[in-house]
This record gives sequence, structure tokens and C-alpha cells, in this order.
Amino acid sequence: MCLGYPAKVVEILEDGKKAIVDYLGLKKTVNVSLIKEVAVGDYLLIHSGVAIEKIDEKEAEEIEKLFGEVRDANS
Amino acid sequence: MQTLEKANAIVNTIKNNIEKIGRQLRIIEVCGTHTVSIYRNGFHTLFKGYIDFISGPGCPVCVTHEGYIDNLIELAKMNYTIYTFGDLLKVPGKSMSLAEAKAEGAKIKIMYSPVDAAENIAEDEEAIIAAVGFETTVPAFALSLEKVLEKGLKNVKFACELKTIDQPLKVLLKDHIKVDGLILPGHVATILGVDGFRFVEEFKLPSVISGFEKYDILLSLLSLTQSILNNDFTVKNEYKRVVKKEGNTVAKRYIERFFERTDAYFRGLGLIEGGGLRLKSEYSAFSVQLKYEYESLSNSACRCTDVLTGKLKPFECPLFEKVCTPQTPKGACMVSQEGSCNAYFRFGKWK
Repeated sequence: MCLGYPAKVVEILEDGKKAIVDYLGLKKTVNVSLIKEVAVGDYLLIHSGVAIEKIDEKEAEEIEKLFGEVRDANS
Repeated sequence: MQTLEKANAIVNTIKNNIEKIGRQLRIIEVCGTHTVSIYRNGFHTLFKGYIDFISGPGCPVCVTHEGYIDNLIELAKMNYTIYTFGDLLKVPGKSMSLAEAKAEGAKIKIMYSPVDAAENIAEDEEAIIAAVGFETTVPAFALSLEKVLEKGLKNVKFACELKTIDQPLKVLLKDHIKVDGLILPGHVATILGVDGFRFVEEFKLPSVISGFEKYDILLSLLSLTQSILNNDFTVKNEYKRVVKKEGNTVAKRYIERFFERTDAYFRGLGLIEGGGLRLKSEYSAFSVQLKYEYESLSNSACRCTDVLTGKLKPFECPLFEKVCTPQTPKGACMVSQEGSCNAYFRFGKWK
């Protein structure tokens, strides 16, 4: 029930409260009322048909960097 | 450096940290999705002798009392249509599950989203939406009620069995369990923010908010072992790509607009003061009154209570794998995909 999945916004629907997102090629309409300033191309975390947060791509990249730091600390 | 080497480097650092600490650690993962990730990725085996993973009470299905299921079945018999998430279907009630009631003709419909349910319920259908979940899911029910209000529907009610994460965790840490650190639920934290978990610091226990991928878990264990080494009790956030300090403020406003705290019964932990959420009185017209007999847990051989409080591993329950399986669950921990018994059954190389 608490599962969430990341999906990319491909279209904002007219009222701005919904968007069509792409998850592994599957298109779904989700509610985006909880997200400020949604734009096409954003990655959202979807739970129960509702986007609960925007995924920060820079932070996602930071994880990769962290691996590097750990490697250096360990070598 | 290749991914596998990076992962190995992290694993080695975690093990080195634990060797410096000088004892096997007891780590509780509060959220069932973390339990699944830990077992699916074999971390319980990888860290055998280093970390004893305890599964916490953060699976909403697992902490749902059978009395709630009985209530929903009663309502279905009164000719209401019940809208529910699919993972509640197999939870045993006193006499049957929702799935069995459905097989006997009760009108039980599976919803993917409570918001979709509110959009699609027909005006001539007396509908009840089964509102189950922690703070991750509560905003979806708030949006669902908003939709009901917008449409002016009078035929939709909510059966609220919503839970909050802070109160049960406090009870667990105060009275039930001794651990060295906590892996905090990333999706509840998405809503509540890092600030929503500051209360853990009062227990002088290192903790980390974690994502659900295998590297998230590894980095969180790394962070946790470093915190334990340093006696650092500040809540760490290893899920920064999603979780903000203040959480999702829009979602929190939605929760506050429609819901207020109430006492709630947790399977395994009992009645917890302020452990749940109900609709505010101004929305009582949309709320179903539920009646409980909390002491009615029917299958006394089921050890869900001990599993949920870290006293027993699932395989130590006498029913595990013998009569209790995901196909024939006797307790809620075996029902949900996020339940610890279910995770052990599917992925646990625990023997």
C-alpha cells in the first residue's frame, strides 16, 4: 500500500490538477494537486494515484557521487 | 569503479564500522517496504552476525485490526459498496476476509486510487471508501473527500482506520523494544519531512530516513553505523532526492484541513493514544461510525503481535509456512506484500 514509484510527466492536463505520467512506458493519469509548479519532464513520486513529491534529479545524481566518496574513504 | 565494487566498498565500510562498535546491531526498519527491500536484496544474509533486522509496525495492512474488516463486511451486508485497496482483501476478519465476502456476493470493489474512486462512484450507489494507511496515504483520502465535496455527492462515506507513525513508534521505543538504530519510512517522511521525525532524537537513538532501492538501504546503513559510532542522535536524511526538511507542505495542509487526531487500535500494539486520524466533526456526514471488539483476535496461535514488536522472527511463529502462507494467511503480517511474514516467506533464506 505504501509503495511509491517514480514517473516522468509527459503532459499536464487542462485544470493543472492532473498530469499524464510515464512509468516504464506505461502511461497513467495521476493527481498532481499536492505538487507546486509541475512541468513536463519533471519526475514525480506517485503513490495511490497521487503525486506526493517531485524527485530532485540533482540529488539523485548526488547518490552516485556519494558512492565515489565511500570508495575513496575505503581504499 | 564498477557498481558492484562500489557496493562492496560500502558493505565493507559498514562491516568495519560495526566491528569498531564491537557488537551485533539490532536495527528496526519501521516500514514494510524496507523489510521487503532488505530481504529481496539478501541484506539479512549479507550482514548476518553484524545486523539483526527487526521489522516494525509501519505496514498499514499488518496493523489493521480484524475488527475493522468485520465492520466493512457488516456494511457490505447492509448493501453498501465497499471501495478498498486490493491488499486489504485477504486480511482475515473474525469469520471471513473481504475476498471471501466478495465471493459470497458482497459488493466490494478494488480501487487503485481513492481520488479515482470518488470521481467514478455513481450517484445512485451507496459507497463506502475504506480509508486505511499512514500519512503517506492520508493526503489521497483528503483529495478524495475534496472531490466528493466538489461533486456534491451525498452517497459517499469514509470508513477511517488511518494511522499516524509517531505515536506507535514512541510506544514501541518506550515499552516494547530495544534497538541500536532506526531506518525511518521514506514515504511517510516525504509527507512529514525530516522535522516530522525529530521526536526520535529524544530517545537518544540514531536514525536515518531511507529510500527503498538497494543502494538507498546500503547508504542508510552506512549513515546509521557512523551515527552509532559517533553517538550522533540527529535524524539523518538519505532520501534527499525526495524528502525535504519540512516535507510536503501542501499535503500536510490537506491533512490538517480534513483530519484530526484520534486514538487508534494497532494490531500488535493495542490502543494507542493519538495514534490515528479521523475526519473532523464538520465532515462527520461523510464518516462511518465503526464498532469494535478489540479483544476479539480470534486466532490465538497467530503471533503477529510478537512479530510486530520484534520479540519473534516470523519463522518462530508456530503457524509460519505450515498453515499460514500468502495464499492462506492467518494473520495480517502474512497478507500484505509489505508484511514481515510475507517478506520472510518469499525471500527469507532464514534457515
